[in-house]
Amino acid sequence: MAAPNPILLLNQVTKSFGDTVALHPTDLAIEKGEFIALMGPSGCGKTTTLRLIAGMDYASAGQLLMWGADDITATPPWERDMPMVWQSYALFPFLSVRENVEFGLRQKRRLLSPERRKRALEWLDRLGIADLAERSIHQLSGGQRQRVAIARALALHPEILLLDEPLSALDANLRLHMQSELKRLHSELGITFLYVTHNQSEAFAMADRVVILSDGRVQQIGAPKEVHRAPANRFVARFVGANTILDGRMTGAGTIETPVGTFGIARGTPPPAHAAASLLVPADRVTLSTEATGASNEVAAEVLTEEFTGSFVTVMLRLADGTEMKVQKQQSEIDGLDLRPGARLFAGWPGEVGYVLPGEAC
Amino acid sequence: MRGVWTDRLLGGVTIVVFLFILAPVASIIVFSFNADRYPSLPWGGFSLDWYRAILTDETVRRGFGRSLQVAAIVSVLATFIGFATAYVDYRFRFTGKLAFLALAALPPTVPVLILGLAMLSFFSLIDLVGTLTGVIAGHVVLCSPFAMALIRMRLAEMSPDLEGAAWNLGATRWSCMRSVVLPFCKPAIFSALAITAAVSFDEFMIAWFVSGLNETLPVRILAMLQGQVSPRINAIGTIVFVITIALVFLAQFLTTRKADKEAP
Amino acid sequence: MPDTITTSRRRPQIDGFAAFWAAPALIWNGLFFLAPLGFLVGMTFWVVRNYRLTPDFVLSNWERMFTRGFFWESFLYTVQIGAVTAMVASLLAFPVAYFLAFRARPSARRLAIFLLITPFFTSYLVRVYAWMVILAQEGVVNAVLGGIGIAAVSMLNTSFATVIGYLTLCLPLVILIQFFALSNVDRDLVGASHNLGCGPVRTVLTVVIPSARIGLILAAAFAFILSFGDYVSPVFLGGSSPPTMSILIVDQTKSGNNWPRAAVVAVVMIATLVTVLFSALALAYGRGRARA
Repeated sequence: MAAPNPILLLNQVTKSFGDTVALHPTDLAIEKGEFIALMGPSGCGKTTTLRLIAGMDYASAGQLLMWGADDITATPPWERDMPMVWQSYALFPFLSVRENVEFGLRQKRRLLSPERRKRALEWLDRLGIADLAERSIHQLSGGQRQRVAIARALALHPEILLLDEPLSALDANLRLHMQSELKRLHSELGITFLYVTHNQSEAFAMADRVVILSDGRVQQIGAPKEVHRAPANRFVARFVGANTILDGRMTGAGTIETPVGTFGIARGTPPPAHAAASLLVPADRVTLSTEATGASNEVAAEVLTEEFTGSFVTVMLRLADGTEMKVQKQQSEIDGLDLRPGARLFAGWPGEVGYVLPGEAC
Repeated sequence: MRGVWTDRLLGGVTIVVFLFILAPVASIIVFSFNADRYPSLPWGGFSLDWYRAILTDETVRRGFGRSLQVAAIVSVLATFIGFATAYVDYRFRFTGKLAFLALAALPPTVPVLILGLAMLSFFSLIDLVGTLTGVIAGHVVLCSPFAMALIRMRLAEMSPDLEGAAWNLGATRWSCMRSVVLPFCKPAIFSALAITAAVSFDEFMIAWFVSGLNETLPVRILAMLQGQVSPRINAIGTIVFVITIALVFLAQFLTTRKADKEAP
Repeated sequence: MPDTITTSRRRPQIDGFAAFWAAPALIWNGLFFLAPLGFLVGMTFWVVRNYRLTPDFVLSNWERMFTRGFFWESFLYTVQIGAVTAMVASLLAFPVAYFLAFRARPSARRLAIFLLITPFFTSYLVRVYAWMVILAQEGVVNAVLGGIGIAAVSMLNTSFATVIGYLTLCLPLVILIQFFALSNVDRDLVGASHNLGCGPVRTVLTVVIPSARIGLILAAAFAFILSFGDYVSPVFLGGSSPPTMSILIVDQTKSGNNWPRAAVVAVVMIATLVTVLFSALALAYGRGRARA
């Protein structure tokens, strides 16, 4: 799907600090207008990657190319045109809101003062905080600071916007609101957003593509749905969360034999017969019943916990061999079931959802 | 309650110690207005004679002028060097950094007497003895670590992202220095100007060794102590006290005002 | 956050921007601090001929000073009176620092700290003069003593007066350092000790002092360093008798006009101060009685 000249291309980009490798050689092509999210647990290399792209650090090896030709690997940050929205907002405390937004225009665009002011006010207005223009930063709430930071970056009319965990300091409601606002800005502006987060739901809700990193290596790149339904490996399967992993071994008949039963496989590339393999069962596709239905993809289970999150219920089950299984249902779907801890029931899933991963050492 | 008598005892000792610390300052101010030729009790009546005496004393007035001149130049130079050093410590990592910081920060730990002797002998080689330039050179060495400490503390409060954000928005390191680091450090820079001026204005040992005939005010006081002890010293002391305290208050005011403003 | 720009393989190792900010201190302190101190050491091997300082390499200045009884007497006296000052200052400061750290109200604490910082910026010379007035034969103290029928005591020109002067110089700093050390002592530790039945005095001895050891030792070391190098108090309050090392230096420089010999004394002083400082650091940070 890579176009011949991506707006930004990482070619074997590597970063090490002394003996520690923060980012193993990494390739990544970012297309114009794309919303791409880098995600992974802390220390996975996502922030390092962003800092290399912004020029806050310089790559130890490899190349950064813009439009396939312009090598910016050693370009200092002030000559790159990639404003960033910082996790800490990094607003200048001694400047007013408007002066903060004007900062980049003053440095870079060499605009005259009235023009600068006009453009700053336009962007503040666009983010709904025009009335705060003359306030000083310490008078603002977290959400307002966030908007100033976004306005300050977008006022430069960049082709790429970098966002480093921009929502992590906001409370849950505000975060959801800002998510949709960022999404709206992205589609209105048509520029590239490069978004770093450790929050899976944030990334999946906004991004066209996600890049999942772990231990300084890219684990998988793909559309959220693709990553969710077909994780490339066990790490991704665990990180995207809503899966139960049943470890076992391939049989000669193309099924997978696990301690809790032998099941059919519908998706994924099955390893050769008798090789170790794991079966993924998506949590939202599991059905619960008090009686065995006799279906082939069914296991006996015992309820461990039941947890409500909004209209969803997450039920943790324990299978016969001690494996924990996660089930997510709408409240209405499980009315009338006894889900007290210790209750016994049966969990089944449609044959077509079973996804196989090659087995690996845990 | 067994705590009560220990508290009283502690409070009592504290008061006595503070009286000891403040007694000389009080004595200077009180006796500067005493009419008696020899300052003692009982009180000899109110008088401004000693102030009149020093204001008409040409050596005192010249010394005062030189001290002000030296303090003004020293404060600017020492604050600049202190700022530069504090920024290097904040921003860069390099081999030999510890040695660099030791060179920059150690002067106040060497007794001023020894600094004075070392500077006297070395400055005599490069013709700085007997000049105010020599005094300034020495005072900047002594004062810049104070400026560095104040500004370094302020820099510690600066988010490391702030400079990154400025570069990211297109500011080169030079223009980031002008438009971000300097404005951020402004209160500490003013404090440093005031404090270094106060330290230089009071310093007499380096000045005594190096200044030759260009006596600064404290060197004049030293000469007066060595000669005929006179209550005029009280009057000078009071004036010097008021000036330095004013500078310290100014420094304090500049730092706390900024802190209040930044409180959420 | 360390700057990696200067260390990146893609950028030059000598960075003009970094060099610009490092240069002022390097140049100024190199020229006006390091060079004079280096020259001071070198000068101990020079000689004075016909009232002129002449480059040479002789040990005669060292021999001359080290074989004179008065030099060693002065050295011992200076170390002794510095040590006494460090001890007295520490003992006087501790109750004050303890009171400020554990008992005083925040407003009182702020006022006290301000009062402790102020003396650093009021002329030490003038404060010593004030003590001359207060301690003199016809001074304030004797006037008060006379008022209650006690004969005048001669206090000026004694080691006692010198120590008073030294305390004027170092006591505020000692209190401040001790106060910061005590402020960092974990309150829960003190509470736990009370809870285990330790009285206030035993708690101070077994919990507070060991926990604040580093600060207490450093405070005493600073008291010693400040007094050891001071010239004003031993001259104007102590009457130059017996002479301290600092008085030897001034005599050799100003009247004797023998800078190399003064430099010998100065180098011995620096060596002593470095030794004391490193011993104090070893004592403070070393294994010592690291029970805490």
